[in-house]
Amino acid sequence: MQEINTRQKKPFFIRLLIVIFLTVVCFFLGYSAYYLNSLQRFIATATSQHITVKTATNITPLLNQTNILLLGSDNDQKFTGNPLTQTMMVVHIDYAKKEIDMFSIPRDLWIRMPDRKNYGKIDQAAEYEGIPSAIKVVEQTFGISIDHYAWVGLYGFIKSINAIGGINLQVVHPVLDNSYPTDINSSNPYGYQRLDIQAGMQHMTGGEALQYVRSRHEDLIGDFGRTQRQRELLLAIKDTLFHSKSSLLKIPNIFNSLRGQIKTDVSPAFSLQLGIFLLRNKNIKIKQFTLSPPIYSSIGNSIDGQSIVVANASNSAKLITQIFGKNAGQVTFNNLLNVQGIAR
Amino acid sequence: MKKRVLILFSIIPFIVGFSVAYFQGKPKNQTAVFDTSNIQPTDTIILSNNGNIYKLNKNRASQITHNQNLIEPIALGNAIAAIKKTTNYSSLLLFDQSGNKIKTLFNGNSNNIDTMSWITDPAVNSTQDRIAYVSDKDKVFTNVPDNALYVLNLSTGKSTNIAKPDPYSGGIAHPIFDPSDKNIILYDYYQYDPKTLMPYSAIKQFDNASGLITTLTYENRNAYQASFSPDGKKILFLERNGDSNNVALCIADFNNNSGLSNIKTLAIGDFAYPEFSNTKWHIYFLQAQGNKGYNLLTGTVYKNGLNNIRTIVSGNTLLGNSSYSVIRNTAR
Repeated sequence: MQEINTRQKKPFFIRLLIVIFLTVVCFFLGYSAYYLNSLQRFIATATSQHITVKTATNITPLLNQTNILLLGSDNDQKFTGNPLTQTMMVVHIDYAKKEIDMFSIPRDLWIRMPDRKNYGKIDQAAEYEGIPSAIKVVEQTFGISIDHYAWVGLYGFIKSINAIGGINLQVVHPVLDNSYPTDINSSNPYGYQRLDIQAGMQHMTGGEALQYVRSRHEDLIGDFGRTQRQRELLLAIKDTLFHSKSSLLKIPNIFNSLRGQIKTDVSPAFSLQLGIFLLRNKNIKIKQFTLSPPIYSSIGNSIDGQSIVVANASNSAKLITQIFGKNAGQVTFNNLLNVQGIAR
Repeated sequence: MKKRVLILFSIIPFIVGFSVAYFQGKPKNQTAVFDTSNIQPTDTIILSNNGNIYKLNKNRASQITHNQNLIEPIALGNAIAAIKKTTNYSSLLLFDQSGNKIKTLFNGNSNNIDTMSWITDPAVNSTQDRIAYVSDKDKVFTNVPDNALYVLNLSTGKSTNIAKPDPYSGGIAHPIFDPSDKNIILYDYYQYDPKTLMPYSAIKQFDNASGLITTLTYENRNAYQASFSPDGKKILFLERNGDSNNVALCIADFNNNSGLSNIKTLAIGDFAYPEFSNTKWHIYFLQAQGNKGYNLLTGTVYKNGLNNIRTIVSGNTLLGNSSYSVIRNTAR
């Protein structure tokens, strides 16, 4: 028996519409594939050092709030082993209040090392066991829970700024440095050069931005001036990335550039959630804090002759309470009171 | 057969989509585009773009120097002075109209890194016989690394120290001469607030006749990069506006006895180096749109704002620090 084909051919314009629709779908599949490929390859290297540290038993994660510890190290060719974390900053995000607090921790802050009897500068903690030690020391010293961390070295910093096409920065005062280290792609990593960065609005490359945030010589307030410049840069990056939705087009390029240059436990889902939060709240209130002298600290010397920052326990605790809540302030006070090893 | 065609047909838009995403994310090389028709007929502008000096007037843009890495150009009679900056020092060089080097006005290279000097922000007076600049050239003697203010006498070749910086606080920047009184110089003075330890800039006035230094703006304004109107009666300046990348472009009346009055904000944006035109109420300024380099624009001061804003150099290739200057027609 012969089968009769009852299917009728669709009209031409319907077939044309189907073809256009499938073409558009295939185009966007290809477009998305590039993003997903970049993201997947970035995550494969970025999360290679996944860390879960919740050492302080009295610390409970806060609802509707996130603490991210940002770490930066001079990981140039001079260093071997675990590098110091010269930059330590806790970014506290309060989703309900729509506020962000940026708390810079002075690298020379004199503290008791966790699980050890000795005292030292807070940036030295990372020398013991790397990033887990840095997280632990911040959690224990200030009584806060670190939910996520992100670490970047010198090369990763340069690449990340270049990946977004450089950065427009408001240089708040001229920076002159007569002994800036020449340890990036240099034949003499122990050499030095001179810097002259002029005040005012400037568009900087990754290398120039690194010089701006890394220089700490010839400044009346020393390392505090440097942490101030680092917070300025972070604000400028935030403004750049979340200024418009078109900035998101650069994200795959950023992922590709940073492959292997950053360590973080931030998941793609959390990144997306945070990105959407920042895009929706472009004018979010951002406050900056540090333990600057003379109110929150003083500059001194350790018994072994190191230049150190000694916290004023009472005032520092009040500041930590203001940012992270009452319990954190109390832990901070207990930990920063009567630290030893200071030359009196 | 139909299936094969369908698969082949779908691969093409997939590859196109992938490629579009790839190229969209790549930083693009920018080149400067000149539209000199927006320059006022009274004005000639000297500009540094990618280290090359250009002369711009309403009719044309002509390149004066090639591949010499020069910034901060100023006119000195028929010649052009500009800064040549290298890794560890900078020098002030003088060129003729053809871009040939005539002489070195300031040499920052001592051949020893510890005694090399920076020279920045040259500005010429109305009689064209003095150049004000900032430099760290005396740091070995003063033990202060920041830039101090000097005036170079072009007849004798000698420099005189005019003002010292607040030590380790950023120093002095951007001196300018009053076109109506050659004894008056304004400059930016950087310092830290002793209570908050936040840095800020104040615009100060030096009077060579009396030797007096007067503070014109205070911490609440955080003002910098002032420039005079051709008659010396008004100044433009910038004011930092919190932590953001936006600054306020301000205008004020200037009197060398009573300071600034009638201060108004003309616009808020990513501005740098505003300068007056030789035509009344017209100004020039650098502005960035988004996270890019700078363009040169012009506008008209109208009531309490700016209108008729037009672009002279686009392409986002200009530096945020002083990459241009307007030649004054009011030389006395």
